[in-house]
Amino acid sequence: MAVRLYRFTQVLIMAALGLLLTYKLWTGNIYFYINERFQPLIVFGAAAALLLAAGAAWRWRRGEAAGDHAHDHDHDHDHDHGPARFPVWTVALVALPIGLGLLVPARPLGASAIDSKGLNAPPPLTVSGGGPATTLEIAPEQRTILDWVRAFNYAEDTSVFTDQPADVIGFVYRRAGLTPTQFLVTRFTVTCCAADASGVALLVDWPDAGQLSENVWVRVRGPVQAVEFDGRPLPLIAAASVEIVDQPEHPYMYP
Amino acid sequence: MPLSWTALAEQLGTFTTVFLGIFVEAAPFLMLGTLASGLVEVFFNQNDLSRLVPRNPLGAAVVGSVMGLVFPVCECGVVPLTRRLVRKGLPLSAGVAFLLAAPVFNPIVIASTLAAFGPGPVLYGRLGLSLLIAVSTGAVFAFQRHPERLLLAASLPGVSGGSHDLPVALPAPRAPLASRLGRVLTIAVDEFFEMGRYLVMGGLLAALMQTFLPQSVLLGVSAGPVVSVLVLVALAVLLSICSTVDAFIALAFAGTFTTGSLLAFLVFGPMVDIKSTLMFLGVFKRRTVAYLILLPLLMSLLAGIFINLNTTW
Repeated sequence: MAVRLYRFTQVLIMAALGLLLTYKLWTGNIYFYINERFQPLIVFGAAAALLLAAGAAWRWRRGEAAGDHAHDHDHDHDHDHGPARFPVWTVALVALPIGLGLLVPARPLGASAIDSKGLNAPPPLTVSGGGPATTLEIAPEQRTILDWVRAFNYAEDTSVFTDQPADVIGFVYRRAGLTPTQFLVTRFTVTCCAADASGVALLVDWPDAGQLSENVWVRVRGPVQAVEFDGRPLPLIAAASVEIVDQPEHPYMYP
Repeated sequence: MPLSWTALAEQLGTFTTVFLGIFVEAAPFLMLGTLASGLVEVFFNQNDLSRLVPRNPLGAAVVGSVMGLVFPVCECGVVPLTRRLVRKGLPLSAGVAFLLAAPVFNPIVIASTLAAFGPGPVLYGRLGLSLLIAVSTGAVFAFQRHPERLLLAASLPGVSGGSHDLPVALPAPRAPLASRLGRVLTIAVDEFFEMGRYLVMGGLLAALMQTFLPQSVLLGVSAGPVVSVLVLVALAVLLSICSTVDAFIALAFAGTFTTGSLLAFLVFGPMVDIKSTLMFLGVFKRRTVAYLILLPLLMSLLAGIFINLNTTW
């Protein structure tokens, strides 16, 4: 019977959603999708999905006997007693995110997303109190890529940064206009979820740059120079060392 | 750019990550909304509602627009809850005002906007304009005396006979609590599927556009009192981000975009975006959805442009 099958499918899908969210929280892959401060929301989501699965299971076991449905159905919406026909499309659509979450290997946004997401976008990145003053108070070696980009966005005279030591972690991104010894060490900033991601990057000059493949995570250390890139001042690290590192647990930065 | 399999696989990876980002962020809010809807259905008496909401359509719209303070939901959760309240007999003008205002006029979003912009023109402008647009749009719907011309059968109030799931069919108030809670969950899971499919479709569309349409195309034009408003309104629809956090996104544009355009982003974005439009289609007839998009759109654009031209904010 269509209604009972639909109820059973609901149990499976909601349970799968709850477990998938729990699993992504467990592995930390959830941070490929969202800003870390929404972790409690996902915990709630996992619990709510399991609760709804339990509700659907309760109804499935109890059957639909509670209501007597002798009336006609000329519409396809779901009543409290479920639809008359098995709603294939609804089930397929709701199951789709779970399928994608299971089948497509989880990875954070990488170099190929920069073309659509933008790089060092014009907006000054001031979110969450990270204004110019606080950025400049951070010791140069402690600054992240985001801190450097902010500092340069706000500085009236970027020459004050010359020869300050940088020590940053990001992934390798290349694009037209760079010399063979240059690459961009890049991160994405995520305020809410991957949908609002935006790239931030510093220019790196390193003789062996050609040997680094795109998207590989590196730690870059070296003195900074101020250069023009895309018409805006940007730090260039004349790298003293570039070492390949593991992808960080939190690949995005949270502005 | 040469199209290769690796490039295509990379794009698929980006698409999946963006889509799942939207989905895992929105799904918990949608579940919250459907659970609220289930609670309203099972524990809320139709008479309570008619006592609280004035009969006068304009008064009803005003009450509807501030109901978000009591039912804190964002733009995903508000859709099933609105439909439930309208079925419970909430006047349509109040329902529409609630649908449009609640994603902004609720404690969570007020707090996040305050955190992002502080007490100032952006916060007050956002709240004031949202209420104004929601009440005016709700009032427009008050003139339609035949809700069945606006709503799909599933959303019609019990009295018009469009649905058999009437309050009279409720288990008697004496029904055991466990069974009533079971009913809340059944309603919530059914609505999660029904609205979830629109959320998935909207998320897919938004992720598709974000993967293949460079944002720089839009953000390249940030100046001008008129163009900036158009650009940020388009971005609000395209991004389809939750109203609980859009203030932080808007803050990133604060330096380069005009205040009027920020306000249009913050007012129109929570009312209409790709995923909420699709969810509207599960509640209202198409023509109604068109009005629900166009009226707030025109008012948001006008307000944004007016602010840019006439104030020094």
